[in-house]
Amino acid sequence: MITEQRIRELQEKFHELIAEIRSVIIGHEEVIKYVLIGLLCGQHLLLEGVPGLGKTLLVRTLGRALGLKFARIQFTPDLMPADIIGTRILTEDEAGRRRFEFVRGPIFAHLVLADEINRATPKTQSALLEAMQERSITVSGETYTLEEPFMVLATQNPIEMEGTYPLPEAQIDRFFFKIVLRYPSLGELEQILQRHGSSHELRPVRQVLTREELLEAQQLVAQWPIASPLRRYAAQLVYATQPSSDTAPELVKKYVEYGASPRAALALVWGAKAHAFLSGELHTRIVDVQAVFYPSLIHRIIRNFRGEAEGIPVEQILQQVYDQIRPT
Amino acid sequence: MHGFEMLRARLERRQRLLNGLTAASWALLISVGIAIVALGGSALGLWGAVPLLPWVIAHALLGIVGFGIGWICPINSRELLFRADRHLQSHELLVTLYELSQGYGPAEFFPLLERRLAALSVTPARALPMGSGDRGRWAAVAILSFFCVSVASLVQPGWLPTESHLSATAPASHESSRASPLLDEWLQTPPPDLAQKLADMRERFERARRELALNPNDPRARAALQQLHAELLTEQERLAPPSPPTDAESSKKSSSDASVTEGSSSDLRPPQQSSSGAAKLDHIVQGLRSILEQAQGLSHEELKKLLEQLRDAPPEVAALAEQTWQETQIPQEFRQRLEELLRELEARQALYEQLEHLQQEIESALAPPEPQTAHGEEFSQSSPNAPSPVEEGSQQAPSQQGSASAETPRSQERSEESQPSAGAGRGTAPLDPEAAKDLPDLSELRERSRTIPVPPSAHDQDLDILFEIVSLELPQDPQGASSPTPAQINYERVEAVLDMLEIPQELRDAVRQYFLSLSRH
Repeated sequence: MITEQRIRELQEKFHELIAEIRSVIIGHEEVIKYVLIGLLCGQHLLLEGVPGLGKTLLVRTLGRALGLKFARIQFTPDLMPADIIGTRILTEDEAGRRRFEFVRGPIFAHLVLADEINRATPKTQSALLEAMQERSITVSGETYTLEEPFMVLATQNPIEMEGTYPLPEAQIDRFFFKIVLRYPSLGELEQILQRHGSSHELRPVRQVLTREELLEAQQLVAQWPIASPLRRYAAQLVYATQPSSDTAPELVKKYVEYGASPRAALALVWGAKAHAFLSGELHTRIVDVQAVFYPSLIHRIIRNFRGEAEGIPVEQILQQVYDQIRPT
Repeated sequence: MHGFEMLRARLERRQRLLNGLTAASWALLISVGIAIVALGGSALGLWGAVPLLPWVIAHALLGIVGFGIGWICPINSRELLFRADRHLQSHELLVTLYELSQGYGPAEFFPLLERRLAALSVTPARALPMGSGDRGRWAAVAILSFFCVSVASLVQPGWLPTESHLSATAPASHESSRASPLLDEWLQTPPPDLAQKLADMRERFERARRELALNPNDPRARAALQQLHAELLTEQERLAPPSPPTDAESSKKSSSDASVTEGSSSDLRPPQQSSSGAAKLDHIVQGLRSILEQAQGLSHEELKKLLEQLRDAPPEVAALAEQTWQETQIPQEFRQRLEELLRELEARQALYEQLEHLQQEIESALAPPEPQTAHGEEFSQSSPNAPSPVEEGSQQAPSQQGSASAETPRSQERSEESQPSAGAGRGTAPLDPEAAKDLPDLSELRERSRTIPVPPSAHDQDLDILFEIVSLELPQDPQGASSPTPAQINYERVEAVLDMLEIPQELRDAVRQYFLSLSRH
């Protein structure tokens, strides 16, 4: 039975979680919010930013604050799928009998940080992405289910493209949001120095939310009320990114090869619900849809040759879609 | 009923009201637009007066029907509440509640959200305000209606008649409105200085006549007289009331035009309009006088009834009376205006008669000069200031007639003047007694013509002119038959006049025979 009191308690806990993360992470308010939205929706996120912006710190802090098992995988070109999933090794018991035993890889965690995912070979990337999609792993005919909550936060470095294997569009589409981390401002940089300049040790993080509470919150968000005009609005936004649609703005028609997939529309609606939950509301609003518009669609728009050659940013195209499509 | 359901019902009622108002505004905008076009057309004279009271009732009915249609139009509650959310800035709370109430989404959230609704003070007017389009349309309707009333007040002063008046006078008003523009124009062009002009004309006429007396063939004097004659005709046309052109009249006019071109002295022919114009003026004066007499002491309603009965009266009379009534609407004022109108028309009549008289004098003076044998001696004996032949004839006639002039019609006088008598005024030569034997008795002719009922104005006047011409132009010298005699010349004119003037059909042959016999001699 859903009660307002319980909803308020959960919302309060998430506000505490945000506060706890912000006690470690300086700035990146939007990033923290989107990460929590992804967490509430049980989806995987792609973080893009230059090294040193606190991506790993963010995910680790989140894991500690939630009391969840955290794993970090540094993707390199020689990383093998077994390094992620795990492998079977020959072991000998006390009786001297030998048998194969499956040793779980780092994927068997609640929060997995796939650092610089674009440095691994496509084969390894595919192994991770398959696990992300199926939420289970099959090794030697035996299936292992990944424990909920399961969330992969992949990062990629946008500047060092040499020796990388950019994720194919089909793989990128599996990420719920793509969150671009911006460089901190001068004030934020000063705060970072003040807070972390004296010691290498991280400030201890208090657990504010249990795994069960997180799962309860995920279930609550899944059934969060959203009115049909908002669903229609989300659909209109996504539909307008298709160059063949009649509502597509000029930039879309000119510079977009493929628009956002229906998965983008789902991400918009689910993300809007989670955003409404985090905002302390009891129902979804238009502003919630609009708040998750960019992270939901930015990695799902594939520009055509002309768009790439002319350097038209996807953000600019999305801005035109956002401005042109109004809720009706 | 839940708080939300009550609010929803109120919002739906509000939406129906707005729909009704929107439909009504469209209906009224269109109908008022049509009304303005109708009034504009009426003001320009394209069609008759617009009965405005039925129009107003039709507008009201149309607005009510439009409102009813808008009210019963189906309402999409979801869209309605979504719109209300946007106006209230309630972040889609109403539409979410609606969907939860309809079973879409977890029902547990409904009471949670409904409690929030209480904190949101929702009023239907705030949730669903009238759109700017509707406001603009109603403003347009108001402005156009005001414009309509203003135009109606200018074009149709008594625009709010009663039902009975409208039903009874609709055809009459249509009739009068058809005739009124011409009458208006006629009445609005009063002869401002016609009296002065008439005096000038008479002076010019006297001068020309004196010159003609000295030299009957003086072309300058004749041209001056002809010019004067043309001016007289113009003035007569201005004074005469206009008659709406009909097919019959236009054909008649064309035939008369044709005869004018054929005639040898077309410019001298008395215009048919002169006599009919005088008659018309007389008709109008008589008709209005009759209305004025009947209108004495009548009440408002009785006067309206009287005007309703004028449908059988001449259209000009009915139009003038109707127009005067429309302008006044008060019996006392109506009678005063009618009296003023009568005075003006009588003044016109007097001027018209003077013009007619002068015209006759000019025509007499312009008659072809007579042979020197008779005329020259007389003119040589007479002084330049001697009275004109017409005046002379009119002065001498009584002395020559003696007691024979017991009957006083002008035609009789003139026919008696034309009887053969030596030195009988006007300088006309005596008729040959032998030739006179063969002539039909003119007095008998006159008697016959008098017994036949013909329009007095046309018949008498035309016969007068005819007899005057005959009396002036009898053949002087029977020996000179080889050259065209004055009788022959005048016969051609008379022939044309016979065709034009309204001589009774039965008498035309007799008259023609008379002149033929003259020409033989």
